[in-house]
Amino acid sequence: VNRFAVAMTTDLDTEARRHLLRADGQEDVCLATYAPSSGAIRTSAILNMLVLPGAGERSVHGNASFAGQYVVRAASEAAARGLGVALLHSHPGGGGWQGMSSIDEQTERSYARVAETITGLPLVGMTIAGDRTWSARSWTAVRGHGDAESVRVVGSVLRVSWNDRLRPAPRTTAAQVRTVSAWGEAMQADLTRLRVLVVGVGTVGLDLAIRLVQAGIQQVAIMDFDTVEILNLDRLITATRLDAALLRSKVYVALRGMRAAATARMPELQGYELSVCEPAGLRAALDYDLVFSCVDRPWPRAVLNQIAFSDLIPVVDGGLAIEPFQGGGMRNATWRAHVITPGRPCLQCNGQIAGAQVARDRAGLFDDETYIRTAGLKLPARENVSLLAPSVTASMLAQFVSLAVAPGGLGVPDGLRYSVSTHTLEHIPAETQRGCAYENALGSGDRRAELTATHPSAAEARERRAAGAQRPRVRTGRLAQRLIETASAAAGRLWVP
Amino acid sequence: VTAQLVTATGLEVFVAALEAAGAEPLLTAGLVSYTVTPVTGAMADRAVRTGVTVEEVAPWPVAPPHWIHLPVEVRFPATNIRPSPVPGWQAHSRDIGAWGIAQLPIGAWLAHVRGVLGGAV
Repeated sequence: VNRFAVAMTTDLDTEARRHLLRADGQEDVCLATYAPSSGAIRTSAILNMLVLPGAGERSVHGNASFAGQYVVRAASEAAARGLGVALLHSHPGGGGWQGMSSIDEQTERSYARVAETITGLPLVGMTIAGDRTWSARSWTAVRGHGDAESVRVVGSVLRVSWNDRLRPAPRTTAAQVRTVSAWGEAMQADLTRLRVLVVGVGTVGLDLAIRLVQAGIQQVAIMDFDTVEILNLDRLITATRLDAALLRSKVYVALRGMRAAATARMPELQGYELSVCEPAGLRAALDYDLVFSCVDRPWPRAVLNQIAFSDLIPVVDGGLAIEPFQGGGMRNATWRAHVITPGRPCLQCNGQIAGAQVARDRAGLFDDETYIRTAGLKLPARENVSLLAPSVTASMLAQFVSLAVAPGGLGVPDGLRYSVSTHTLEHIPAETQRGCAYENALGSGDRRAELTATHPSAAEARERRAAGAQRPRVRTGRLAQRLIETASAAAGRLWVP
Repeated sequence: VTAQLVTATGLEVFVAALEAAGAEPLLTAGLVSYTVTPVTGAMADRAVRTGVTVEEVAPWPVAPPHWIHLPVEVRFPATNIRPSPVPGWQAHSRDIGAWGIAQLPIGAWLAHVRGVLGGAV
């Protein structure tokens, strides 16, 4: 599978529309630069700068056309920065995903070779319709063009233009009637087509993943390298003592729960036993339109924080902090949730990660008890409560709805924090720091700084699980469990229409 | 709309920034070494060669390095050490303070190292 998508910020979309959708109703054209973002099975073009035409560089005559020197100028500017070039034009009278007229096709084809020769990257062609729907395709001189599956516009609201041919809206099912009644068929069709990744399927992530498939989202993936342990059972919903005894991965347990809960006709669920800090984990994450960050360590949160800006993949992040008294009892507990997206401060600027902690985690020292003791640091907090975790899930899902559904048209708020002791919900204002390297790398795609590296803990967890699975007792138990689960699923298919 | 793109690897950006700061960077044995002159402490006003590993500057400037590599002659009253790839050197564990605030990350990094060296005895 080789998918293609395009992404841009709300600011760039606004500026492009201002130029392309003219008051006089004529078509217009302009150019943009983009950075490739290479996932495991999807390549995205991340638009990062408009190159507006100068005098004599385009002509508007009902239709519009590019002058050759304009394309060469933009392609040269792009090449100097290691970027590709995109041709943008408007169909003011059109609505929905646009096909190409023969003139459109001829124009884009004629510039594909020029752009590719100068930049070394495929030309991207884009059309905006009068109803603000974008459509896009990627051109190579040899293979011609291939359509994008989607164009996402990312800011405090996530708005996606869908190619109905490549990503048809899943049909609503009887189980989704109440959900659809909350926001209508069109919104449901947009929501359920999002490719959503949940990173970390512990207490909050597993709960979230199940809620997402219940709402009808067709493609939900989960990523976690960890194994179910007895000490997880006080809060990991659907996990059993048997799962812990059989050394099941959290991904296995989560997928089982998600399959049982999914309401889509044809759910496409995927599990990755990886860390997003590993190169393969990052590549997988780049295949998705939106990510839920359910990890508490600084390094994976830093990687997700990075792709929210470099690759325009919004990240819904949240967490729970518990403050017990030393002698027993609870001083307070707080949970917070925020969306990391262009136009909102990153996780470093809003105080959720610190550079020193990211560096220490990346160096393998974050929970190295010997190191922590000798350095006089505090061990990372481990307190967790099943009774409060669903509130984190709820808080993150509310942020997701604000981002993707935008009730009232408002989009995502600042970070929100609830304090259990005082029963107060606060907006947590934060500002972007001028020197923020995450936000300054907006739209850089594959040219992002290299935060990923080998991850010994993830490799060790997978190796330990694989070794344990060779034990006769575990092998037999897994086989029996698999048979029962398969039989249960088959019975479900037989009895339920 | 303008985009400030990362146009090189973290190592290249780090080395270029050190050069611009006059810190005389040199790449050897997987270590970027450079010169810092502390203004306080036992080594005040002495140019000291220090370094960070190539692996640790890969994410520069998104994340700073952690380990500061120094010749064994540079001693601290309390420190967490591990071996350095450079013979006669060792790496000291040091957390940098606020990160992502300074307009020029290299300025923040050099100030951090200068501060660490200020504690040498």
